[in-house]
Amino acid sequence: MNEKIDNVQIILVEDGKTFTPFYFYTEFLEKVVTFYKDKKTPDTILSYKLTDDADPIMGRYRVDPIALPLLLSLTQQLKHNQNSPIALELSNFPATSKLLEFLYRSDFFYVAGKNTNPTFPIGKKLLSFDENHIGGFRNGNIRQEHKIRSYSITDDSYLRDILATEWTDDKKRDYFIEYYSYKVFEHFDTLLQESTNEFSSLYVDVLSELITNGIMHSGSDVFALMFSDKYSIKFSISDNGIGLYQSLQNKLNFDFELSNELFSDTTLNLSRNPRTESLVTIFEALYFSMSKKRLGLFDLMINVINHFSGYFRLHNGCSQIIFSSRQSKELEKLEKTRKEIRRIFYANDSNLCDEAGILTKVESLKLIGKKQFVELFKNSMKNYSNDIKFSAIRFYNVRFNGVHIEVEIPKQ
Amino acid sequence: MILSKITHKGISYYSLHAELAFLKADNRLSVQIDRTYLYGAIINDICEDILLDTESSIFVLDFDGIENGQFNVLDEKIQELRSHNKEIVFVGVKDSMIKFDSQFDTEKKIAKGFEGQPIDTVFKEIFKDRLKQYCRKDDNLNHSSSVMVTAYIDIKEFFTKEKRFALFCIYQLARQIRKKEIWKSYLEPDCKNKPVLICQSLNGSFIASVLSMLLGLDLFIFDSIGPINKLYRNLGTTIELTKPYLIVSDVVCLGTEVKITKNIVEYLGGVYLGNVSIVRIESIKPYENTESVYIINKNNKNEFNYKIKTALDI
Repeated sequence: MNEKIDNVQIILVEDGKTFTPFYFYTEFLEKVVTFYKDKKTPDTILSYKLTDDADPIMGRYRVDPIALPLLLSLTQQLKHNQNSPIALELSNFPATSKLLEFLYRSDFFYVAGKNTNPTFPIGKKLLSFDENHIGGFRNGNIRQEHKIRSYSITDDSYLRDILATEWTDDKKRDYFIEYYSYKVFEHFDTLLQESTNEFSSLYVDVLSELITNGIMHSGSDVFALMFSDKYSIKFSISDNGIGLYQSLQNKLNFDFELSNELFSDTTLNLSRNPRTESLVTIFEALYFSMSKKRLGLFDLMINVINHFSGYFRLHNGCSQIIFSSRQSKELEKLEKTRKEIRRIFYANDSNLCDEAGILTKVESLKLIGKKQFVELFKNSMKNYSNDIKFSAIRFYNVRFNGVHIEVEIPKQ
Repeated sequence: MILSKITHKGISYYSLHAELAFLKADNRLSVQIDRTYLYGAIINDICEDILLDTESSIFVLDFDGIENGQFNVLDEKIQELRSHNKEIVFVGVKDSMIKFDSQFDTEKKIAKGFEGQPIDTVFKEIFKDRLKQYCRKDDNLNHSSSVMVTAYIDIKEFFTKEKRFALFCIYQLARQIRKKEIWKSYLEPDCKNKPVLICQSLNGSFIASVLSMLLGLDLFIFDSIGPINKLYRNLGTTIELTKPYLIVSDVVCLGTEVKITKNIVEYLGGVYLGNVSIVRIESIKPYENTESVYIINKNNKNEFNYKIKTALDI
């Protein structure tokens, strides 16, 4: 090692503090930002240390599995910045061994490392670590099926060819969803088999739709994980691509109807800043998805909440929205409007068949939908000003690129 | 590969779940009965087939067994077909599918006032008609038991000439096995002691090999038991102790070969689970642990001219 290179270490997991997505957004990202603020010379390099080792024997070092895709996404961005894999210091003590074992069994080290053996996930070379520390596990009750997966367009020349074809966007999307639903069955087979058919088919929908979204919009890698515990099934899908705003802007003649309406609303009195803008963009994206002919992100979200009483958390830029059954009143109204829109698009009546007729009908329904979205936004904001801690909206100080979705579905 | 298409009285039936069971993905055929997620490739195949079909007036899509799928593709294709004046009827749509796609909720399931019926209701009829063609008059003495059977059902010819329909028949058998209450616990995915399919004839081994792929079970071929009885070689190590065995045959008449195999299995310590076949002659005492696609009984025996004669009848 060259002694001259400055190296600032950031600790990932502290004793007694679980590495959850919330911890990641609030504290961990702050640490990373502090590093870049305090950075004195351009040569200073950031590195991770997995555990703080304050108590190597009795310490409690835990990671919430669904935070792992976020960590990998962030690491990929940092690696891009730094032009070299991030060093990760591991230590194998009695207190940390279980955490190491979990990371090992979840294929975290394979995905993040430099593995080239095709039996295991091919490494993305995000982290560099000393493999000698991995091992000596006690074979605890860690489930082997909780794997982290990376999906990437760069890995697969076949998909790149498809993306380059002259097909319509929808056809490409269908192709990708089909491709990834095969993959999802292959990768999460054991977990899918454990649940009833109705639920497992929802899980496949969630994963293949969101992975396709990530791949097609961001053009970058997508990290996904499916995790099952006693009470619920959790998904975490994370990409670090261009984000919602940019991908909406890339659409032809996109005029941000809902955003304009929300920002000009006098009762809301919303000021334009990065936080509100990234939040409003989430609503804009869902509104856009709702007014389309095809099933998409909006339908998935509605289905998770209205029919499976789950949670849907979407993080974009520096804000996050948590949809749950608490908003079901507004969401049910939206679902009705959505049904109407789809019915019009697929109407078979001859008197409705001309396209102009369909479009005017859809436009009028979109107006209703827009009103309902404004209502949903207002109610969510009201809760935010009443009680920040339990609010559906969260604003973070640090902007984190990409779209990050967590879905949680309770087991019945 | 469309294998479930049945045309009956100007109406064409497709079983989506059967197509899904024989899925061609990445140019590989993958056979599995547990799939419930309808892929776009299958929808495309079926729609192509419907577009080319100029004879049928109504097309029935049987969704039985499907939970979810690429409904964007489906909605798009159905709209396309309807714009070509093809009448499409959905049957067997599960309530849970409406959660995924509200389009299933609409009145459009029905075409021309025809509500459609599940493919299973016409399958038996079609099966009988096709089987009759491969039923020959036979005057020879039965090989395994000393009786005379007046008709010979040539399953080998049937399956060779109607390859796709044969696969669909075996798929039907696999579904029946899956649904059977007394075998359910053995076929759960996490069952440690899964049954082994065992067969004793060439036709049986073909059926058993497809079944083993569909159900994900092991296969064991017990050659030279029937129909021509031979000496058994090496009875020793092939049957595992306490392992359940399911006997697969093509046509079960008196069940002599099934009984021989059952005896061997039980003698060597295996557990006899039951018998499955494509065609079975109804027995006087009904057996609980048998399953077959088609049963010949006193109501339909005349159509096949099927009679079992002993010396007392001749």
